This record gives sequence, C-alpha cells and structure tokens, in this order.
Amino acid sequence: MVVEMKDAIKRYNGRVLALDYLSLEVNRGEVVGLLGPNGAGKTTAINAIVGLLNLDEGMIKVFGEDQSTKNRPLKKRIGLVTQEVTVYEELSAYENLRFFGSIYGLRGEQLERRIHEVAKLIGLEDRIKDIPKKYSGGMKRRLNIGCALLHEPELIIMDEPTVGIDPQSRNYILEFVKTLAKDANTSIIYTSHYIEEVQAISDKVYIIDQGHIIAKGTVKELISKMKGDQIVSISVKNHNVDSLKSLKALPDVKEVTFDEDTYQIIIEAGASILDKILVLLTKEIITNVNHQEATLEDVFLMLTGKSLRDGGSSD
Amino acid sequence: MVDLVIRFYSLRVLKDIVGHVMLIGLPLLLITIMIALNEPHVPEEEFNNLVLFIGLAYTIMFQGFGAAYTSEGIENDFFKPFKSRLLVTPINPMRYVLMTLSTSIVLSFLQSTLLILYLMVVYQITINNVLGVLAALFLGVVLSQLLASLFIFLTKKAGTTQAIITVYLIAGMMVGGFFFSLPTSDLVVFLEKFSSPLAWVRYAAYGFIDGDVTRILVGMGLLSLGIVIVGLFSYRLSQKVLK
Repeated sequence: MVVEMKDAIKRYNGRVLALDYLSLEVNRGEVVGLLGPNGAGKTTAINAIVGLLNLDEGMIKVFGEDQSTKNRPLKKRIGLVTQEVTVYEELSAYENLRFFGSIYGLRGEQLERRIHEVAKLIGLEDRIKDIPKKYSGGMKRRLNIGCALLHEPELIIMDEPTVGIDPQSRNYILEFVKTLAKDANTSIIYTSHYIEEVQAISDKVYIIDQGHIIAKGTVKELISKMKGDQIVSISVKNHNVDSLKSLKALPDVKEVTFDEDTYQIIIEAGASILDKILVLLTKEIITNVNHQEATLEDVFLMLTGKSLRDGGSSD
Repeated sequence: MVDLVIRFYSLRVLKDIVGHVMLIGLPLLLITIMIALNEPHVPEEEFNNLVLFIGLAYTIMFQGFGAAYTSEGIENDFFKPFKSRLLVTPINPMRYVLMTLSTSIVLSFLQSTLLILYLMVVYQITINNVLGVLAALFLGVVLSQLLASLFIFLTKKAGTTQAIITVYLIAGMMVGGFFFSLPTSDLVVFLEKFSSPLAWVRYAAYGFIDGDVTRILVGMGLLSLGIVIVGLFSYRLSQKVLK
C-alpha cells in the first residue's frame, strides 16, 4: 500500500478539528480523487500525507513508513503539484526544471535526461528556454506539474492542478494523469473543484466533509448510491429567494440547490412531484426543464448538501 | 546541496535587471550628483573627505536597501505557496535560508565594494586602510541582512519589512548625521556615533581610516555583538516559521 491513513486527528490551535478520525488508503498505480467542500479537511489530509504537518492522533504510513515532518528520505518518493503555480518567474522553464531536479539529488546526465523527458511529457520542449512570464496559464500549469515529476516520484499529489486554465490544457493534463498512473504505475491523489474531472480519471473517490470520510468507492459505486433517485434541473430567469425554501419543504425532495440560474433538485425514487415543483415556481420564468441521470456531482450534493464549485478553491 | 541553493539564488538575483539598477545604478547616480552639488562649496584639500563622507553614507544606506531586497526572496520562498513546494523536498529549509542569506551577504558586499572602488577610481581619492573599511562594511552588510531576515520572519510580509527598513534607514541616517550636519552637543555626538548599526559601521570605518584602534574595537565590537544578538533572534524565529 502506498498511503495508509487511519483514524487521523488534527486540531488547529488545539480546538478546530480539521481531521476527525479520517481514514484513507491509496494503492500503487491508483488515481484517487479527493472531494470535499471548503474547510472539509482535504488540504490538511494532503499536508499530512506529504509530511508538511504531524497528526495529533492516529496513524499515517507512506510506503510502509511512518510519515512525519522529520522523515526527509520519504520526501524523495513524493511529488507535490501545488494549487498555485509555484515556479520561479525569473528563471526559464529549463532552469526551473533543473532546480527542482537538483533539489531531489539528480545530477549530470541523469538530470539532463530527465529535464528533456519531462519537458516532452508536459509538451514544453519547444519553449523550454523561455521564462514562465511568456507562457499562457495552461503552459505555466504544465510547468508546475513538470517540476514535481523530475525525480520520478512514486506518489504524486495534485492539488487543484487545473484551476484557471483553458479546456485544451485541462484535457491535456487529465490525459497525462491517466497515462502517468497507467504507464509509470504512479499513485496519484487528485483534488479538484471540477467533479467531472475527478469522475473522469479516478479509480477511487473519497468524499470528505467536516474532517472525515462520508463516502468512498469507485465512481460507479458512489453513483449507485443514488440509484432510482431522480435529478431535475430547472433553469429560471427571475429567481425568487423564497422558492428554494418551499422546494426543500416538499415531501420526497432530498436536496435542492440553486447555482447561477438553475435549480438542481434530487427527488426520491418513484415520487411524482414535478407538477408540485412547477406550481411552486409559477412566479419565475422557466426557461428549461431537464431530467437527468445521476453524476458524481449529484452524489456529492446529496451527501454534503453543498455544491462543490460554489465552495471556493481551497479548504 | 549547498552550492545548489547559492547557484540558483544567484541566478535569480542576477536576472533581476531592475534590482541591479536600484541597488547599484541608483547609489552611483546619487553619489555622483551629491558630490557634484557639494564640490564647489568645499576647499580642494577637503575634497577627499567630502567624497568619502558622501560615498560611505550612500554605501551604508544601500546596504539596508539590499537587505530589504533579500526579504522579498525569503517571502517568495517561505511565506507564499512556494513554502509548501520547498518543504516537501528533501532540502533542509534552515540550510536553504542560511544559503540564501549567505549569497545575499556576498552580493551586497560586492555592491559595497563596487561603490568604494568607484570613489577611488573615478574621484582618485585615497582611503587609508581600505581593507579595514571594507571589513567594517562587511560586518554592516551581515547585520543589515540579519535584521531584514528578523523583520521578515516577524512580520511575514516583505512589504512591511521594506517599510520598516526604509523608516529605519531614514531615521538612522538623520539621527546619525549622514545627511546634514547636526548641532554639536554631547547627546548629538553620542547619537552620531552609536544611535544605530548604520552609525556603528561609519564609526568603525572612520576608525580604520584614522588609525584609531579604540574606535575600531568599539565599532567592530558593537557590530559583532549586533550580529550575534540579531542572528540568534532571527534563528529562533526562522525555526518557528520553517517547522
């Protein structure tokens, strides 16, 4: 097992419970998606896994070794792709890759070989001599990922690696993550506010809320939790704040959210209440009604009662 | 690992053209202007002293600005998201900070040396015991850099650190009589000599120039003591920040 976290407890300032008996496992070559609203404990869990903080209680083993801030040798086997782009803007991509490779002890021919391999992998081999200031957001993100790959880590943690980039670069990164796990047998922990990304690449998903795991399993297993539930999306023009409360009060309605101009309503299996819903929304101009299959986002919504993308970008 | 940090930090600094202009070009320009403005008002035999007075004042002042510049580097590496990226690597963060500071000390000292050489070459002045003067300037650089590191570890913000250093430099130089002559009283004379580390550097430097052993010992002693005290505080604070 690559990561084994059991009953992890972490308090901040002795009071705020960031991790509350959190347990998770990551196996070799597995892509594990970590989902949770703001303040759920994702970043704390990640920080404990990479050795940036120590747990107050519980156990965490990485590659079978106890992880802590003092376990420096273990750090050579882990790569962290930070949420913010953390490359030196004044150094070229080549120099950035060289710096991060050197920090992990790569030297000489081995370092040169890895720089060129990684540059090719992230699609920057033609622009390797340029400074990141000349790059697009997507290229900077790719360089950010590249800097965590130089030392061929067996475990990579990607914390929101696609924030603020174009769809083309996002697809590139997602394909790249899948290839990395499949071809190099690398284990990847992936967090994102884009649930469809997690759904597309993860072998296993953990949903965290208030410091503990509220659901885990493959995407299929999680979606099966919604089996039979109906999801109705209703787009409106003039949103009435009171409607949300009224909809939630309807019998057979499991969850309701309003995002931008659309109500997302999860209804119990077999219930037939669409007419009641439409009556409640008579004060609003309905532009679209859609009945859809459950997605991971719906599972998340049902379990946490929150829409992930509304929750901001970090916890 | 040691040479790695020095190499890459130097590379980052060397690529910062604006930084060079501010820390080398600006003092050269200011020294040149101030000498040109004051030259007509002093007798020829006092020209050497004038150049030395102005040159040393600006050299010491820009050591402070050099230190403020270093705080930006430390902020970037240890107070922004970079902190996580560096702390997950096998590098020893304490060593990283020490190497960054050492590199900054060397670069800032080279800047001071360049300014002194400018005075000697362009204005043809003689500086008695120039190596001693450079030694005083070196201790001044070390203390300035440590002060900047202390402030950045304390405030966690380069902007605040730079504001503190700027106020400290202006106040220290005014009270120390770097900008203009102060009325002669025992208190003012005392402040001119000992009011701040800036004054200590000048006190020690003139001790070397005048061959005054007592002034050398007191000036260098104060600077060394300052380095030890500020260094210890900075070390303790950095341990808290980097843990």
